Amino acid sequence: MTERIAQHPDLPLFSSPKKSFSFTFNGKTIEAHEGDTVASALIAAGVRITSRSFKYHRPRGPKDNFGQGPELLMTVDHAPNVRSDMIPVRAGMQVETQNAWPSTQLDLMSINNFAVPLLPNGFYYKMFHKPKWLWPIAERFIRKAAGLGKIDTQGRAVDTRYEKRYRFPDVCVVGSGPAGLASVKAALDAGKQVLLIEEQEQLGGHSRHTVFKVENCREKKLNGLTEQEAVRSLIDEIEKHPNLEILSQTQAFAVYEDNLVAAQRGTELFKIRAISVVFAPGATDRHLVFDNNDKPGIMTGRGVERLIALHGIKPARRAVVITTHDGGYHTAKLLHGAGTEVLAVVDGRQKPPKNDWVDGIRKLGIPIFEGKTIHRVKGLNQVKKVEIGDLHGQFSSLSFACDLVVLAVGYQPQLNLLSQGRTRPVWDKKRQILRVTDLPQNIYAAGEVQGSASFARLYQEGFEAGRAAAQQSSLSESQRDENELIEALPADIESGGKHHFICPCMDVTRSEACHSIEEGFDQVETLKRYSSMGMGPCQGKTCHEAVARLAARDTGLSETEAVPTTMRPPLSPVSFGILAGRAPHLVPQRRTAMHHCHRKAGAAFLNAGQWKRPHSYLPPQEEALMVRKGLGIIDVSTLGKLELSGPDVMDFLHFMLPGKFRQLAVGRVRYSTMIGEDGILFEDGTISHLEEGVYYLSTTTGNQAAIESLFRWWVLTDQFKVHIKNLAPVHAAVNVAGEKSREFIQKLVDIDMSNEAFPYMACRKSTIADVPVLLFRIGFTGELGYEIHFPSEFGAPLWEYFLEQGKSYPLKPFGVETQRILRLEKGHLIPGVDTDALSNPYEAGVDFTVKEDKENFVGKAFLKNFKERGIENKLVSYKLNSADPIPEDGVAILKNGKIIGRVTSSRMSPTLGFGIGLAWVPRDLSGAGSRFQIRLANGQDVTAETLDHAAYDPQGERLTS
Amino acid sequence: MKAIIQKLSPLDEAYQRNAAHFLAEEGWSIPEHCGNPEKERAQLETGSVLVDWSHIGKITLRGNHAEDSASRLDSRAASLKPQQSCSTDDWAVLRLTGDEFMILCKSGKENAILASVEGDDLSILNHGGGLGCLVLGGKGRDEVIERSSAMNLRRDIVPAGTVVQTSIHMVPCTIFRTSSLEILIHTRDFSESLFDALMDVGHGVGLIPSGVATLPVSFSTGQED
Repeated sequence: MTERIAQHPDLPLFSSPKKSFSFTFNGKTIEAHEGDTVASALIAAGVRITSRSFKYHRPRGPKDNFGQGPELLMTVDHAPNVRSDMIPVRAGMQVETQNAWPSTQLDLMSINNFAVPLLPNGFYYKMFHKPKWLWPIAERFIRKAAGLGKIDTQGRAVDTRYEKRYRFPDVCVVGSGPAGLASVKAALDAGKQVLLIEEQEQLGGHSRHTVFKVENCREKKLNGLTEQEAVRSLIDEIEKHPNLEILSQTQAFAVYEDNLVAAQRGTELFKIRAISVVFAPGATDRHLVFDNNDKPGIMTGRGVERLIALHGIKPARRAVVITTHDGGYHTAKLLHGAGTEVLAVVDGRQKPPKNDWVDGIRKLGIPIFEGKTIHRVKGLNQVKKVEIGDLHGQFSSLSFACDLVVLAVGYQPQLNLLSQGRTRPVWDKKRQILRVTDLPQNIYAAGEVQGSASFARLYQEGFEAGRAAAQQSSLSESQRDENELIEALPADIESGGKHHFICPCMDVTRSEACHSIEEGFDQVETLKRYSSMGMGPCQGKTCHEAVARLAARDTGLSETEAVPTTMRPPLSPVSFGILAGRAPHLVPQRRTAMHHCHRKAGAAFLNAGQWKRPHSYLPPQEEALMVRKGLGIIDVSTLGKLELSGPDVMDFLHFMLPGKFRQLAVGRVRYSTMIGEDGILFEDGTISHLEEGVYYLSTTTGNQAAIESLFRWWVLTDQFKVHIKNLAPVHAAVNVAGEKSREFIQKLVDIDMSNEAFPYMACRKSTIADVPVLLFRIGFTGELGYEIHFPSEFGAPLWEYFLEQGKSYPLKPFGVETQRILRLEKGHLIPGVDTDALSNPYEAGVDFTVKEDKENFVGKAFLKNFKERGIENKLVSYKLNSADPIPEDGVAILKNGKIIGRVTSSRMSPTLGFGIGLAWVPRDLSGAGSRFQIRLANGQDVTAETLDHAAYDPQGERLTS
Repeated sequence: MKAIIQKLSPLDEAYQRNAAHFLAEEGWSIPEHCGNPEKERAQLETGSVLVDWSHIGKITLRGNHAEDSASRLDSRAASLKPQQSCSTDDWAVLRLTGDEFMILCKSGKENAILASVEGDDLSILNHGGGLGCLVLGGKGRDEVIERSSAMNLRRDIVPAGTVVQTSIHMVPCTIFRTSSLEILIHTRDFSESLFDALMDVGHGVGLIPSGVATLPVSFSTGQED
């Protein structure tokens, strides 16, 4: 029975909420108060069962109200697996429970609970595999039965906007309890830029609901205040500081190398790169294993305090507090003040100390049972009764009828962030906790993450950590006094019963863990992986200590051996949307200067690396015929363009390229390949002698950056006096192709375009429409054609100018796919498409570019070896019969059922009327007229005939005329 | 056969989509404003604006004598370390590396600068329209940059006058920071992607496209606010 309270005698800063509004929960309208989380509003409304467990579909209810376990994961506004205790509720919010059918109150899948013996750990590894057809069916069922929220496949949250943010503070502090706030203060005092990350909406950590008095604090003004008042005072002091940025409601979920902290706030991802990071994430109430320890109505001490102090909720009618330290008395006092009847405080200590808190509880008439603890709870769907007895579960001596059991049996530090990917926690016998002691440089830990302590010590420790972080100096080992230590109860109170849940997320019980150990999984790593303990939504935050301690107990491993595995990101659920961001951020696109001309002309685009290039404007076959019979223009701006000059330029070209260029006259162009040091053909292009000592090298689109880097590297390495200018972005380029191209261009320029004055493989400078241009007579398409390079700022206007001037022919644009057909008709290879990392120039049929008699050049030694080895396979042109279907690129060539080669490029030639292509075949099939079988993707075979010449214009008359 | 052809920025189409009004300057067609110059000027005061300066001159000097050559334009260039700059209203000399300088200048001043920096054993490249230039101005620009780069560009670490070569939204950029502007130089083929990405992250933090009416070209580094 829960209800709202308007005041509390022990909470000086208590203020009852004022505004109320409504939201829906499973379609039902629920009232919420300003300041509520989704979970607190539900609890106030009397909702006790908030979810069903992963495997057995047992009812689960609120426990710590701090985003730790799986019990409050819900679907909020269609987003699954939201921690409902960590997000403020808003008016109109749609909240739904998960993993239950038809409802969490009555879940038919809870039949699994009665099938525990049939569903031991790893049952899905062993069952349903025979007969073979059974597994796919079983898997579907298992996936449906298990699991958490369902992804919104209707895309109702598709317009969610995800942001990526960066921060670069000097000091990043995670956690805003006393230690975190003190760290911030120290770092600010040192003049540093500080970023404070707090998971909750309000700063202050657990002290916000703690009214212990502050004593002996180095910050004198805090002494005598309650912790609640002390953190408020600290917050008031620092929150307006100009060097402080506070990210509240922000979850640091991962830590990577070099102090990269990843955090999320709503739909924002923060990547924080700090010089130093102070982790002060605090601690949560210890997870205790006993019979039925997962029943709704069992809450942690701090979970109960949050409901009372932060949300003004009386959490139950009658409660029993199970504790081992004074914190349990604090919780009992707050419960009493909220109007809950506290039936007993059950203290595991044989002799609780005499102090105001223990005495205060006695004065209230609440019985205290010393040296006892919880044995089990009873109740079908929620707590109805609790039984207590000795610490080892042997003798149950008392029982209480209640609707709330509070567990305040010590604290387990929040180690995940400290441990992630770096260090495994170790058991600190003195402090009775797992700790991370070996921290990387400039990572600091302070506060309860080092063990529970007084406010004064937490403040001191935080302050020292903040100062060390500011100075990047070392931090002395934290200390704890005897009176600050909390003795741990046995990790499992072995009082009988089957439902001792170690891992509430994955529904793993003690008996299942023991069963796994019997099967041989007797190390923490294997036990975790086999049983999946610690692999649920909370990522072990709740259970890692219990897993380690019980593994030690049940396997006989020592405490130093039975430690949790290294913890991994993320600390809490992170949506794929957060990680993925938005498309424009991920894939920058490169557009040529004429891109929008193509778009407006209706071009379909293809991706060539980052480039968007026109695939075609019309059907490519139609465009190919247009070029062969008329006049076409293609945007080739993406080609690499390097200008080389300087005193050593000729030596450099001779060293870098396999050909000879000393005789290349000004105004002439030569085709060249490029060979790696391993003798492999990886690139081709043209070298043009633009003016005395100035050469212009064109490369393929994909290799332009790599070639520039390679050239610069060799220039530096071998001290060539060569100047390299990358003109790729500076120059746009088009190729005008077709038998009328000379006639067309002649109209635009004032130089002689005749075959005699401007022959094949020549280059000239001129102007078109007052724009300076470079003209290259080359012919990748196999047709009379000219490449025209010009300043890219004139790209779009000059493209339009060409089309306008060529209207009468007509001049039409064609795309990359059309160009591929045309070059294939001519048998021109494309490195990287028709060659691979094993192709040498001899086998690729471009050995005419290699001048072996040169003194030295890149790849010469390997080329010599290749030549001596002889040709094993050869790249050949082939043709098909006109009726044959066209093979797909990449299909196999077979002989007697064995793969002996492959097709690299294959198209239907609209000019010739039959299929053509390039293929790698064994040497004995490389002679003209040889026949081989190509296996199509559909399994059909077609016969191809090897050609020893280009399929189109074998004599090159059209190119050279 | 002659025709008058204007030089177009790589963002010509993007600005046309934003209803830009263009003006002609030194043969370039450049965005003057996007329909409401008063509002855009106000946004410069309160939010942030993104302006296309692709028409400015961009010249790189590379080689052993690059420092001498740059010093002929501006004697302060000799004392620059990599990532530092010196500037006047008309030009800025950015030292990229030990032997590489980039000179930015107002459109039309390229030839005079080329004449003054000419020298032996030097690679001089006048990029013209090969490089794009986007300029972020206004108080809100820090927030746009913070959402756009994984590099620490905090003002106390990267003060006015600093030159940084990094990537913005995965587009390689040279950033020249003045007291009031972030000048982003990049190859022109990425311009539209960069513009779209900046506008996308600027959504919600008050970034609007604008023109040279709001931010006329000026390279004075100025002092930090």
